[in-house]
Amino acid sequence: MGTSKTEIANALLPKLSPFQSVGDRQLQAVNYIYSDGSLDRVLLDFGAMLVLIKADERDDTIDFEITETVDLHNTHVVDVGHQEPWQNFIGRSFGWGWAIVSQQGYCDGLLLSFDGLSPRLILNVVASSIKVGLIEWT
Amino acid sequence: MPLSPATIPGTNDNKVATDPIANFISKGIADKDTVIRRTQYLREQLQNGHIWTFFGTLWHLKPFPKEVDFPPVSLSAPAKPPSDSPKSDDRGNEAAESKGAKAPGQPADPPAQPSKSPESAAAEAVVTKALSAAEKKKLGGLAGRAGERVGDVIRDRGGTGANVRQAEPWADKTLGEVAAAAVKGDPTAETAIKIAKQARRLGLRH
Repeated sequence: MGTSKTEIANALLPKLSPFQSVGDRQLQAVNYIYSDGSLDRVLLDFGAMLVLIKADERDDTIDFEITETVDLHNTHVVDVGHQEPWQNFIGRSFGWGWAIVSQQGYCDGLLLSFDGLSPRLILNVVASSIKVGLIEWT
Repeated sequence: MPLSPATIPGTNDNKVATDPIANFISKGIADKDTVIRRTQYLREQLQNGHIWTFFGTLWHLKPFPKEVDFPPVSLSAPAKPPSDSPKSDDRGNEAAESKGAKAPGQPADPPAQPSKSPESAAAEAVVTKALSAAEKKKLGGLAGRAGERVGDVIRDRGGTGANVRQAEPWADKTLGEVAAAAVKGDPTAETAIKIAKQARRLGLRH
């Protein structure tokens, strides 16, 4: 493996490790957490494990972690598990996760797959908000 | 030495006693901020009982300290706000991504804008104060620069001419104006904010 590939893998390893922890658990619920009108956190409930995806407002990067508690002070929480696009993935097993790095060098997005290894959802931070999109394969 | 009510800031007596000072020291000074700083300085001298410093400075027998006199250092060469500091959003790469840093092969951009005048800096402060919580949230680390044009901020942070064009039609608007549009849901405004935030390329080495 080339040196650059190894360097990239080493750099991203800590970032990607939460995906490894999720394994193939089923997605049970999804909550959007708004602060000052911006969707700055998405909480994925995998039953015994919560994955918190966060937008960093300083540079529009994205971060995510396994967590047990979430600070909901001054926030507005919306259960979106029954809404598009999440309703398609409730009850599905997590597949793989990808971290997206922009050409500017900022990790500002994620790809998620369920019931397989084809990316189905894209999350991207823009202006302190997490944008969620469905990936359609033709 | 007990102080009279006129020496206590915030009281009517103090206001009556010190307002003429502002008028007096403003003669020949066009910059309102300097007048305000000088007046505040003299009020503090009164408050602290430094009567001789107060009268000596008032009658030009003693110079004003550099930090309150014209030209103000902080306004002629404005420092970046803490929220936009290298530690807060550049994660230790500020030396490499210093102002105007370019990757090899990148086209040259127009020269940076000249330093802001005291008047424009004051206007920016007003704009910053007027931002709503939602607008501040959108701007994140750039909230302190809400009065600056998007195109200028992008270039200042090392962005290219292409980056500025990608921020159209907002490049000539201030970040504050763009934030207001972003809060209303304008996706092009949100994109312009993102370009400004990520204009500085991470990992450049020179």
